[in-house]
Amino acid sequence: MVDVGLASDVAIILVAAALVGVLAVRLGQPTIIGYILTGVVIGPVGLGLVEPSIITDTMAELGLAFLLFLLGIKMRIDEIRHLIAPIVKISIPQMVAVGAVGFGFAVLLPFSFEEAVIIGLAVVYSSTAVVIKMLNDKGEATSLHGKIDVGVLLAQDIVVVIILAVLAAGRPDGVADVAVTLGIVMVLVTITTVAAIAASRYVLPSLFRQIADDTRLLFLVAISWLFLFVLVSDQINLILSPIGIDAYLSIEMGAFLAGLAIAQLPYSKDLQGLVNPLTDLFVMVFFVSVALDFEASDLLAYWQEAVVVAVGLMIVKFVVFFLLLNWQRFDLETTFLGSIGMIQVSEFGIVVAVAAVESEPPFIGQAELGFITLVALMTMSVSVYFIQYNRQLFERVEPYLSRWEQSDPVQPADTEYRNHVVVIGYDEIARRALRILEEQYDQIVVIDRNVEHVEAIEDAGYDALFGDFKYAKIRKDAGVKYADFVFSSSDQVEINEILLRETTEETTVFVEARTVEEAAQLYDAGAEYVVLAPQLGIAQFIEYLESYVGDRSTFDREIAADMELLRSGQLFPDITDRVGGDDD
Amino acid sequence: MTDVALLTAMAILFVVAGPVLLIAKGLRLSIIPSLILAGLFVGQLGLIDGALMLELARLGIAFLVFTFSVQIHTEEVRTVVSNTEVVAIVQAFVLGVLGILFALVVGIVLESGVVPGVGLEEPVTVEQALFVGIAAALSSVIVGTALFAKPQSDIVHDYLSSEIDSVSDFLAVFVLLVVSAGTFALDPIATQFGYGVMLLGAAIVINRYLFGIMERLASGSDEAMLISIVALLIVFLAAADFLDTSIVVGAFAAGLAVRDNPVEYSEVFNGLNSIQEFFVAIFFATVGALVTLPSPLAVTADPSATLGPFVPVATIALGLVVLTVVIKPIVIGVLLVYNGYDRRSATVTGLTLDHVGAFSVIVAIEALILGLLIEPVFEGIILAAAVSMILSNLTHTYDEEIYGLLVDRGWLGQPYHDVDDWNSVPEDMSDHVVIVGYGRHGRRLVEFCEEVDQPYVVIENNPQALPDLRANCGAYVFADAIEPETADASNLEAARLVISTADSKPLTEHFLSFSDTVDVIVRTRELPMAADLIERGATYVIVPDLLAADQLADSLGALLNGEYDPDELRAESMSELNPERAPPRFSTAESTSHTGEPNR
Repeated sequence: MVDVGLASDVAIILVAAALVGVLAVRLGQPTIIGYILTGVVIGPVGLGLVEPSIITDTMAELGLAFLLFLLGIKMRIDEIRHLIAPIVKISIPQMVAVGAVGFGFAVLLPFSFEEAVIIGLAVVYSSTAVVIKMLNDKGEATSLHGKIDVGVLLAQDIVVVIILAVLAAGRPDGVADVAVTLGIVMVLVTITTVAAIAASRYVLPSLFRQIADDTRLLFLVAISWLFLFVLVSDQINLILSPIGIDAYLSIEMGAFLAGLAIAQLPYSKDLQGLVNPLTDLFVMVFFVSVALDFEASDLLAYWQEAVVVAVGLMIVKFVVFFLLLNWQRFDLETTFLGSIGMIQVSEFGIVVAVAAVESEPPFIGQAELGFITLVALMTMSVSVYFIQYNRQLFERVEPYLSRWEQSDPVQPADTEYRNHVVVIGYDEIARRALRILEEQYDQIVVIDRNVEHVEAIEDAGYDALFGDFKYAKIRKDAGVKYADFVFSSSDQVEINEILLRETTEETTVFVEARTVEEAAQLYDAGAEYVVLAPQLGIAQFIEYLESYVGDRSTFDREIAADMELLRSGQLFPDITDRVGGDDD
Repeated sequence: MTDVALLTAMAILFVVAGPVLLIAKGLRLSIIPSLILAGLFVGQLGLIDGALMLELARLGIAFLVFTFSVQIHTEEVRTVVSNTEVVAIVQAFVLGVLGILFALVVGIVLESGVVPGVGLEEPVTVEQALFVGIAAALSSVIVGTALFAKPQSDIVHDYLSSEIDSVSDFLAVFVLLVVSAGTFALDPIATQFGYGVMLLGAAIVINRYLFGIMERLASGSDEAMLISIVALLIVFLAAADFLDTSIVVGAFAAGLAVRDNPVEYSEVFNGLNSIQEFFVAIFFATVGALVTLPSPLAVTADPSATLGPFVPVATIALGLVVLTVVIKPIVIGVLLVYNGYDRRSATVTGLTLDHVGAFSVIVAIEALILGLLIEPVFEGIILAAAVSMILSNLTHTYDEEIYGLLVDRGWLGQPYHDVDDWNSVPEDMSDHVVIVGYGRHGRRLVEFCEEVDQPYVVIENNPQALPDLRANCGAYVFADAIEPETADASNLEAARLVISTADSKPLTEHFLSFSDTVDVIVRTRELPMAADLIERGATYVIVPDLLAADQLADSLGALLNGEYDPDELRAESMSELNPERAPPRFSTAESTSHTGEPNR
């Protein structure tokens, strides 16, 4: 039995990373830096406390898979379709240019031709993990520059997969050999993409509709879907080798496509909230383990060269991206932010380098691997700060960049809510409120976690968000902070307290409560009005009963409107409402 | 760059679990047995490195126990034991003893070699039997929260089962603590127990003093808070490991150390929750994968040699299933009836608790890891858990039908009344209002009837409401509303109106069958249900939200028309909360509802 014991490497990694991570937050540093440093400190380079184990490696691998899955879940194809052409036009020249520069640097320094080729190939990519993590943390993943960066990263990812496939096949015999491998990978990526998109159109909607009401089930089935893609990508070689094809697909690519298929469903928002924490946990292990694989001597063999190349590459990458984005007519801010994010060398560079070391015979040695890793670590760390402070930086340099201003830039789509109404949970009370509120407000968005409700709301012509209000993601998408009026028909105190923490003084908030004590608590928390539904309900019913006891015909008249509504049996009956109740 | 064997194993588990879960959803089975089944399938493929998966699975246990104990507020633990809790404890004791006896008998039979070719390498000792007893006794489904949040349900059997479940949870955690801390062979039990207490002490110190510092350090970053809490858990697990105590003790202590603040750290707690779900899924699937079934091919080739080792496993599993699915509901039913509950609530409650609990699975696996439990007994318990959980799903779905069948056969005898004054309705009562349920709504209706001198009869089946019934109600029937004798006792046929305040399908159906002779008003929360109820003769359907909406519309309209500004509205509506200024009926409803509250 493997003695993982919980006092083992995983434990040390988690605890150390947590300590350093908290310290980083405290000092206003990005957590990634904390995690990478943790790896350096507790790994063989520093104290030598831990070595990578099967469990840490698996968790790191899962971290990347979950990160890409999460990213996939966020990509609604409708929202990125118009970006596909510019992304292709940016990513191909970028990779050629940066690869050439990387090769050039390496040739000038004491590296052989072959080593220089590998170095060139390794430094082309920007770090998916760093960029996406930072964009997520800053809430910029779906901004225009975020989408561009993500698109370019994915294009690079495809190339990494191809390079890895070529390296795995050993020293290529010639151009034809490379071309065949390339062809197979392209075909596989296409097939997987088509399968994912077809599934998202024909299979998943009905499948997920059945289970969406049950959070646990939704989560587990989504994870199962992710692992299906992970398993197929991971084992593609095993599946295809009987028919004589050597194939390779990256787990990350599979994970992304699995997420992409789910993103097209209305339930994706809720899943983001569920998948995010797992991603955080595993990605943490990933960043820590980046530095775990090295001995200090290998890592530092070429440290001076690494510093020079790191600085050079960051400048070159920024300039290349800036020029290409500008060429694609993005506005100055987008161009700047999009470029500043991509200046680092990716963890995939390390993966490529590792493959080159493990290739038979090896293309490069341990020291060259250490060099590439060091460049990646340094550029990643520095770039994190550039991303963290990207807007401040832009404000500083904007005056000097005016000659790059576009006269007619590509416009980002603006879909954010402002001064609108948010209704949480759909029920009869909420329905009545909606009818009254729609006379005053144009934008109304309803949040509910029930498939039938959401469909009824959409049929009635309101915006509906499927999801649990507990998740910050849902609150953000509904723009709760900027709402003018919020009506919560949830009677869970916890939900309403979360709501009241999020809204400002300016927002009028109506909430529901079950008991007087809860109501008092919610008024204290700042609610404008607390609907004590059970009490209001029974008060009204007793009025009816009074008529019943006194005069049956009055009773029949009073309940007539109610009865019409009840008979309709619809969630969103198209019936004119009663004109208020009797005043008390 | 990595050895992805573990990743592959995990991937296979989840890939199989997905479709199984979907099918299970179609069959209305719950998640845990579905996961065990999925694991069972994968286990037979022989692809999983059990030892390695088990390590991840134990994180599942850790998180499970951890999130359970996070909800325990050390300041608020009750010391009063209610009637129902006594029922739960006695039930667990009886079933536990039966389970132990059963296992010992199986052990003796196997030992004696009565059945040729069937036997165990190791004898079934008292220790082994103890675990079978635990599996039979505990039916928890990890509800936990029910003990702290008041039950929300109107329906007696719903709150009964959730209360018994949460007692079961606590017993399970206690057993886990004792089992894992106390039974290590080398150390004296006292030392181990001492370590456990030390950890708990440390946890409470952290909760009171250090957690605040942690919160300040994380300075509002959800990610930092989440990883700190995970790290805290890991530290406790490592400490438990270091002290040679079970990780369950560590996880439990860690949970106590964390302050439950779901509002301020909603994202953090959501996060813990989804991390937990992930590892717990791995846990149950792995548990399933650890069970080896005889392969059909081998059985046909050489039946006796293949089935031989499996017979003890199957016997234990079968025995446990019989104990939990048949004997347990009977024991619970008898105990509840003895405590004054009606036979329907008692039966239905028994039918929701008739399975081996999830915590028992944890106890079994911890015992296996610690070397206290031999493989065949372990496999028997796991199989019994999966089978009984699935059966329990079925009996829960068809509980009313099963109850009907039992009554028709006469197996439940006559309705039993342990109090003489179960019925205080005058013989000649007529033209009265029958109020079903003496919860918040029922009480308000009673007050109203008294105000307007309308004769009424209350029907209630919760023994905890009995003192109030006696004190406050002129006429009541303390019995299950559905029993024919209840209708007779309340002179239902002569009544003017029946108002059912319980949102329960069988009750609603029962009263609608009288709608030809009397006016019937029923209650439902689901608006779309109402149309059907009216169709079937309801005079009116109480949909609380619909009624409340009227009253709300006024306030909202006034605000939007500018008759009020938000501050005025707030001030005015807050003042209405003040009992002195509120309408009198309103406040009395509140003040009388503090006793026997479960029926609200």
